[in-house]
Amino acid sequence: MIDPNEVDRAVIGVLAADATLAGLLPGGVYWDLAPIGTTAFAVVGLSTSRGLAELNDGTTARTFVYLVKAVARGTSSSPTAAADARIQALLDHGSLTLSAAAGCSLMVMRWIDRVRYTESTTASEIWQHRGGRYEVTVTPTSS
Amino acid sequence: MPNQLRLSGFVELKRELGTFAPDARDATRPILAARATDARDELVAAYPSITGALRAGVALIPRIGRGIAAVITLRSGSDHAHLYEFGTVHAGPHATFLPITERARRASTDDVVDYVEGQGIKVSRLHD
Repeated sequence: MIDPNEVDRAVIGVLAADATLAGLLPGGVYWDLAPIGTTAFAVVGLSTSRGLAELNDGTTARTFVYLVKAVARGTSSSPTAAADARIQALLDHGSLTLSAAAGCSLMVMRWIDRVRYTESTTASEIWQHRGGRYEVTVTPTSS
Repeated sequence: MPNQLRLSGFVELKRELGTFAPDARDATRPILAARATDARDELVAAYPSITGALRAGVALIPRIGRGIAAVITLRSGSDHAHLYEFGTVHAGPHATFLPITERARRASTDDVVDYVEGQGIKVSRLHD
């Protein structure tokens, strides 16, 4: 049986293990929210998910679409641009280390669309958000 | 030998489609409208109502499609709809618009396929 939580962990794991990304976003990689006070970090969240009901009644594969974005304080877009490029290099048609507990293996992981916006939390505090949504399709290792 | 991708049957497909358009477009509009309305209502119910702006920004926009196309757009137009969907520094993302619209799109496709098959045309249901 597929454990989607293990797939979540694997996505975070591949980002958290990368030294280049850690250099660009020293605050770390978090699910949904980063700790208060962190000023340059990556966030992973679940956007959508689905089974492929057309194939073998939905037991053949599952797809999870993750929002993965770099977030950094400041008006310059350069830090998040570099981090976004690194995230894409890691995830787009990349590999995942899935534990046995995940109950599945990776079929394909790919970039599907872009996310970018600027947030103003106060009149003097600007944040850059930049990243994309990534589709991760897995298939059970045993039925 | 060079690789080749050969697609055939377009002429036959166009001829088949031509046999029931524009009646087909007229028939599929209410099918799409029903799914779009359900999606709009689900989205409005899923959004929080603090200032009311998120809910007030949800609208269905019928469009004129070319040929036999029937198109309805569900729009979330408040200034902070993207912040709610994708998150802020102090509030995480709330996946709302994207999963609701994706489900509605797939369901409406299935409904239209049901209709087209009812007209005697075999349709593959593979998505994506």
